[in-house]
Amino acid sequence: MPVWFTPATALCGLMFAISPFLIANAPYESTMGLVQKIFYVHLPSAWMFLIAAIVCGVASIRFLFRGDARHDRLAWAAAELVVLFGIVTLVTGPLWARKAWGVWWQWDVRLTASLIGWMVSVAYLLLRKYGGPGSDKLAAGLALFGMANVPFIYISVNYWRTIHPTTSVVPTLPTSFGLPLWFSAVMFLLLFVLLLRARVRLEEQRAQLDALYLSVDG
Amino acid sequence: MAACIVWMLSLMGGFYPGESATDWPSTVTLHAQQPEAVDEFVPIDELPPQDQLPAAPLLVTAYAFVVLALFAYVISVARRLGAVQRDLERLQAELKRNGST
Amino acid sequence: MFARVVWLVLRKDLMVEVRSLEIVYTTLFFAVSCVLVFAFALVQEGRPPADGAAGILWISIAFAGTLALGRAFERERQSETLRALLLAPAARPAVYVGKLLGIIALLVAGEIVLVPLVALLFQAPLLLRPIWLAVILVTGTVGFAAVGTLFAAMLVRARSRDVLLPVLLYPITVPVIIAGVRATATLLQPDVDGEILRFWLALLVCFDIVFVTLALWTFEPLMTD
Repeated sequence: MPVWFTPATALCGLMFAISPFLIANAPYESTMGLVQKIFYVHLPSAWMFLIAAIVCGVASIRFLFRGDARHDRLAWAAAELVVLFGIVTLVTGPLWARKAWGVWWQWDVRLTASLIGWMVSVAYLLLRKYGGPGSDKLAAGLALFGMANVPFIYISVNYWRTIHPTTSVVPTLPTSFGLPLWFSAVMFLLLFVLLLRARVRLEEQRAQLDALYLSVDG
Repeated sequence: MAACIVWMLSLMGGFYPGESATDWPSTVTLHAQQPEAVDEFVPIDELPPQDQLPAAPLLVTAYAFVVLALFAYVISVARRLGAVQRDLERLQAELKRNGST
Repeated sequence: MFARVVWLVLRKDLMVEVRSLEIVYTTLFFAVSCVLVFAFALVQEGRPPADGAAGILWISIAFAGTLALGRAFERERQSETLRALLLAPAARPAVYVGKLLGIIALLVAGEIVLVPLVALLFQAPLLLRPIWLAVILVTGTVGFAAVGTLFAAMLVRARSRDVLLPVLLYPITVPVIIAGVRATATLLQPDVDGEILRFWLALLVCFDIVFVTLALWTFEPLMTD
């Protein structure tokens, strides 16, 4: 593991310890009250969901056209994180929506597209696990199509009528809301990088093991 | 492709559809509230009387889920890493033994 | 040259299919069974569910299409003809387009049978505005087939390919199917809202362009060992 990993983990743990205080001290929002505090984990995890999908897509493109296995390892790790942060987003969202909108789920564009994007990443993992040899390239092709979905998810809420908040909410946040949000976002980003690095290490070790097995047989 | 996306967006801007375009099947709402798209947060402390659904269980469940999911993933990666480490060490030891004979 | 390769691949597929008609018959029969299953499940006391026809039509197309894709490429795998195609000195994208047109032809044949059947069983005025319906069906089919042909081709040498094709295909093509269903449902209204119809059609066309472009771009690296 690289030099920065352990201090970064310590920093991340520290941020996780501080965050509840920041979130608890943020003011209440007028119409939603206490449940709005879910915002501070829902939004950063949604961002990580989209970022992971982009990382997976870009790494897949580079793997498809250059053939370097490192990009494939990164793509697989990123895909797992898409599933992880996707699940977090898709669970915290409805929990918030139940109180804020009165329903658990809405088939509006953003939610539908996000669910589909998440399912694409699950399909990616299934393909990697059960597809047999050659599935690394196939999965890369799939990830490309999945990544095309990402900008659609993000901007859809600005063009279709929906009760999901639009993208203009975050830039116009007052500081009292903004500080815990950005703190939480940086914390999630740091966590994302750490998890990605750890997962890539797993793949590197697996590749080393495979090479060792091959040298024993040969 | 970028031109296509721009074109699609301008089309949608032009044909900005009414309610029925997004008339995808919606779940049955228990409460009638369907607020308009939110553009700004309003940090006023007064809480207008809303439905009586308690927020605390939802909030606690959300945060608990986040912590559990992240924790479960970290454990999963750690276990898989440990298994591969063990296999590697076992194989390297075996190679050393075979190599020395 | 590109067009010639496309035509040659397409002609080969059509000729092979016409000789045995295996995929045509089995896919059509499956599509019809699918619609019948929906009819038995959803029609209560002789009355079909309101507005159900659009969804049922597109679901049947999707299911039958997946089956047809699997069968078409299974045939290629058995005869190792896909490798021969790739070894030929032809542009890979041309091979892809040739196979794509073959799949589209097959699906359109299925739709020609399905549309009257769904209109009959679900009492939906599908044939009232045939030209618009044809436009919707063709654009939707192109989008579905574009992704389907690519995935089916790349799964030819993978393990568990039969179950993996729907697993990979459906999440990507669900937006196309949603748009197709919405457009068809709009068309089935007594007075059609032209603006909404054009919106969904524009979305379908955009999906088609994006998917075909992506498929053409990635077909070569995906099919290379």
